[in-house]
Amino acid sequence: MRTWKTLVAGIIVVLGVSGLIFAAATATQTVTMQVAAVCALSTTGNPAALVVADPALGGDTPANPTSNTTYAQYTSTVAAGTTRRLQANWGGTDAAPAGCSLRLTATPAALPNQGASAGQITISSTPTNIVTGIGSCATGTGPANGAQLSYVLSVDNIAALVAGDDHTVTITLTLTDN
Amino acid sequence: MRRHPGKAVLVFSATLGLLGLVEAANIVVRGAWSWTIGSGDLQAGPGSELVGTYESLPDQATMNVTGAGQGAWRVDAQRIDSHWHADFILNIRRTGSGRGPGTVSGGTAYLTITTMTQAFVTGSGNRSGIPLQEQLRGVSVSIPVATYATMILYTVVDR
Repeated sequence: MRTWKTLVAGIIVVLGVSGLIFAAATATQTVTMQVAAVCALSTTGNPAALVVADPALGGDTPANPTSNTTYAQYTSTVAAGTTRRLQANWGGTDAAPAGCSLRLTATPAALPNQGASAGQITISSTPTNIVTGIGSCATGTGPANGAQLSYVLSVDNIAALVAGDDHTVTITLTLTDN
Repeated sequence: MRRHPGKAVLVFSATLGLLGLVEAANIVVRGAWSWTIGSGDLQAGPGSELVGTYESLPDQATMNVTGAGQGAWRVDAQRIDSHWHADFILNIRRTGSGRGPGTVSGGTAYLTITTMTQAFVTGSGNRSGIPLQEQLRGVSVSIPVATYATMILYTVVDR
């Protein structure tokens, strides 16, 4: 009987003392962060008017007017292993002046994930890639940040030029998933 | 009557032991924090970075320490990640003292929670409704699109 009493008391002592020394209880709290897809695009403004002017020498073909003062600025977040592209097109009723075509080259900064230029394209009503391989990035918002947009009004057929032929077109840039 | 000294020691020890069992502090934390970072969090529109730091409400979670009697305790905290990004820095702080007969101190400055256990707050006696606020730092566009989750494990230890 005494042995049992001693044993029980001993267990209580061990448990109790260990409780005093090691007593620990836990609680948990969950923190969840969702990084959603960000696909935001803007431009720094409109390019200057592209005017076919007199050539320096009579008999020469007029030079192709250009404008490269605007930039496409974008913030993009994508899932691991995926990319986006930047496309350009104009409306179905838009057109270049007779004898001309409008061409565009977009040149992103050589920074990580800002993409690579797809080279010069001829603007049409069909969306065409101008920058590819855009990952998660932010180009910046300064006046010369982003993909530089170089427009060229190419005089393709001087015989078709019409003096006073004046066109205003709207170019749509689209940042889209691959 | 002959007193048995061993018996007195046994009774004292058993009493001490029972007290130890009875007075072990318990902890309950209520309130999760969930946040979605998206286009609305750009610093200055397209081309700009995401805001880098986010804060929960000051009382996003509340902590109760009960069963402590008059005893002193310490609450430790650590992170247990399920899917977390190495750039994220998760901080917690205590924004109030709650209520109850006990006391609580420390933890009013943000503490970066890591995967290692570290002391968060100390106190004594029972205290409930201690408000907690979380902060997430290190967010940028370089974080891949995904849902990230971690668990903060709070452990109350008798001192």
